[in-house]
Amino acid sequence: MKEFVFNSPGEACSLLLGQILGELLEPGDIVALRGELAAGKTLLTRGIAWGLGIPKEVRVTSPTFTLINEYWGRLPLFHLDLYRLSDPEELQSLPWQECLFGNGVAVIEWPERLGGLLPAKRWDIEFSILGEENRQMVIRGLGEHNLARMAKWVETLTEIQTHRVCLP
Amino acid sequence: MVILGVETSCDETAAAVVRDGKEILSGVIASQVPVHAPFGGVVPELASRKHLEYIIPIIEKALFDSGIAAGEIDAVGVTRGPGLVGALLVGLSAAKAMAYALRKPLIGVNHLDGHIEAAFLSENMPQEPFICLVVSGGHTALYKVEPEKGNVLLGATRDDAAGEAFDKVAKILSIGYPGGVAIQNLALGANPKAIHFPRSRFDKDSLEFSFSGLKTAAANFVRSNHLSAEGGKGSESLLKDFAASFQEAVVDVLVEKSILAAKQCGLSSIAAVGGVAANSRLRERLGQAVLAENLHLYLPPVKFCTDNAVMIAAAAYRTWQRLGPQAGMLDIDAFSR
Repeated sequence: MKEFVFNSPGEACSLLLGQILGELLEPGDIVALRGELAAGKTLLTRGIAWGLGIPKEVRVTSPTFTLINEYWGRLPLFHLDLYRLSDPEELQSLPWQECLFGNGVAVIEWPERLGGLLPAKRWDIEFSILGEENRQMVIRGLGEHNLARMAKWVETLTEIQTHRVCLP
Repeated sequence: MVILGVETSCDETAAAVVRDGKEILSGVIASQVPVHAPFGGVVPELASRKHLEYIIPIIEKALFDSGIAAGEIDAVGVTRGPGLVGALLVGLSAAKAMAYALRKPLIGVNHLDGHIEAAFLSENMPQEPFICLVVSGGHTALYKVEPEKGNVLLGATRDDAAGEAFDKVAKILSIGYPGGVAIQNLALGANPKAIHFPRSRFDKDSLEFSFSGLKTAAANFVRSNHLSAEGGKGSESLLKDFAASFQEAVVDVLVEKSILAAKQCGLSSIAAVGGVAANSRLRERLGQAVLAENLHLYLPPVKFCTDNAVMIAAAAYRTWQRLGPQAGMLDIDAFSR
């Protein structure tokens, strides 16, 4: 299976999904989050941070203003938000390569701003707004290695979707 | 004591020369430099590379405007963080180099302490400990300010900053940037109670903020009502009411929590600083609230609310007064948050 469709009825469930994803992530993983404003991208990242062992007391806030936020857990987490980038040349002023090609996990909001620079080996998560709190997240593994891991992910995620209390 | 202040934490490249923390001898911001100036007048949208181009000319201009020679500076104050590390490093490295070459002390400043310092740059400055609301595009936080002891963080946003919520909602509506100004203008004369938006308060004693839920509710409303800036005549009043109601939801929480902080700390004065402190509805509502609660309000001029280096030089002076010379300052690093 190449993708997994996760339907979240609300924030608590999206956080849980993020946390599970954070537990599955490996050094060097790149996660591209695609979705409009208020789709829940930063919220999912907060869950991923928890899954990476970043303490819950640490505020995982929007990186729109700072462009890149760093957190230190089981693995380093680089939370990038390229929303404010308008000119690809502006990328040169950011240490984005250090974030993407290091030994941590990079979560990127507005990855389309990277254009062709976005690595082919990555995870894509596409958000759709279904209702006030309902969100659909389609998770895709890209690249050979991630495709192979996807099977394992699907197993874990299916279990959550079926058994966890946060789902109706 | 004359301090050269340097600020490069975000989009602005700024330098200033300030005597004894209050006498402003000069203040230069890259985005204010006239177009015909040798270094151009384009506002640097983003960060380090632009800062690198501007930093030396900006420092030179600040020194020139002040009439003080570089050798007559007593210390260099510089923003260490929070902010974008790549941007911060430009100002920090320039400041370190100057301090080293001039054999003068370097004083590292927290950007938020700089914002708070703006409260002391108004004509009638607070004389006693006070509550400071720092509210901008990147920050939303409440501090207890005791000039002699330093600033204590009481609460901050758990997700988006208030200014960011303004900007993003304005973006959804395509009504322009900066969002705070665009929404404030739309809201003029409209009904702030027309649409009910959620206010995140956590528990009743909490001084924490959250604006992400409000942003989502506003986005949902825009979508379900097909609201847009080009919506035609029929929807114009709804758009205005939407702007007023959204603004009210942000302002309500900012005002409530500021008053709550003053009560919890037993203080009778409140100051508001940062870019969003320029919002006229926030200023009006804070004014009404302090009157009702018998408190004092300090609102610095807007030019000191947004990012600048005058506040950094002033904060550096206060740090110096409090802590004196610190060892190893040339080894200090930038921090992102």
